[in-house]
Amino acid sequence: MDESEVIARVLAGEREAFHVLLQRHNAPVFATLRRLLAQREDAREVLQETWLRAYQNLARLRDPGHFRTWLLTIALNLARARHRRVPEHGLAPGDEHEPSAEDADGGRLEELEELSLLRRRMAELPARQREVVDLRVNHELSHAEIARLLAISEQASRANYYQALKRLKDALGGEARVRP
Amino acid sequence: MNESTPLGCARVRARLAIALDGGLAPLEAALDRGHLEACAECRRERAEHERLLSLIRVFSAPRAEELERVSAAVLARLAEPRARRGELRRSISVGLVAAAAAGLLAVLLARSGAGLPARSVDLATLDHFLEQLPRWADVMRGLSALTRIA
Repeated sequence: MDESEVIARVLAGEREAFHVLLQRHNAPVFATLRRLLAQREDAREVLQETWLRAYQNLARLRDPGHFRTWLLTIALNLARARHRRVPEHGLAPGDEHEPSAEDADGGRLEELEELSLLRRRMAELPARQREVVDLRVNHELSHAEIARLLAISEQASRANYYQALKRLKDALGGEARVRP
Repeated sequence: MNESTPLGCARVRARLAIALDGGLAPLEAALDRGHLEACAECRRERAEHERLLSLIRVFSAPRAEELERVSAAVLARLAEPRARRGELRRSISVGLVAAAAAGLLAVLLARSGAGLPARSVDLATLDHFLEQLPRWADVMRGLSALTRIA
């Protein structure tokens, strides 16, 4: 079912159709919030609030084709508001993925170690760079879309993206070289 | 032009992120592709860039049960507005009943004070009001309970 149809059904009062939107967009939006907020619990709460706001304001969405971008705008605004209210709840190296039994094999542990390192390095990036990297890599938005969403220029989006990747690569490459 | 010269390597590596982002002009992209075919070291560098991007993609990936929990909570909250609207209607009903009761009380008090000197009216109505207050409170509690049941 195409997005416009799903949204039309939700607006017509079919709450089940909203479940379709949840299933489609929940994971990527949650991943974004996890990159912006340190605590899983915060990300879960903001995600829940994002969906409720989206439901309440769905009739205001002009172009159903831009639902994901619109949803992300709500999520980013709520995450920023949460960060302003509780600054220490911004992205920080804490609350990382706990290795489980199935993670115990060597390759997986190595990847977890890299992910943990990446999380720390991401935490050190300026917020704007983090947002741009997330929107570009995970949501595959174009720089024009990112520029609209974050109210910056396309050039600024590109510059933030390339600078962030360079910093991450240098940091990860450097630490990887130091590791035995 | 595409040989593995230090200059060629520096150029290609400096713009690997841009190339992977699709940001190079066709001619520049073709030049870099040619270089990469001939240069194993730059290919390794590009592979590292690609690995970084894939790590960013998997990092913070949510767990399925976590998403299910959020979805369930959202759907449960969406079921609430009707109940909340009901609560609002009830609050309005209680408010209206309270206003009507206050109006009725005012009329009764005004009537009970008719014909008496001004100061006596004030004291009499006040005494009467204070005497009746517990009963009115009971009435209001009863009405509120009734509207809640409705």
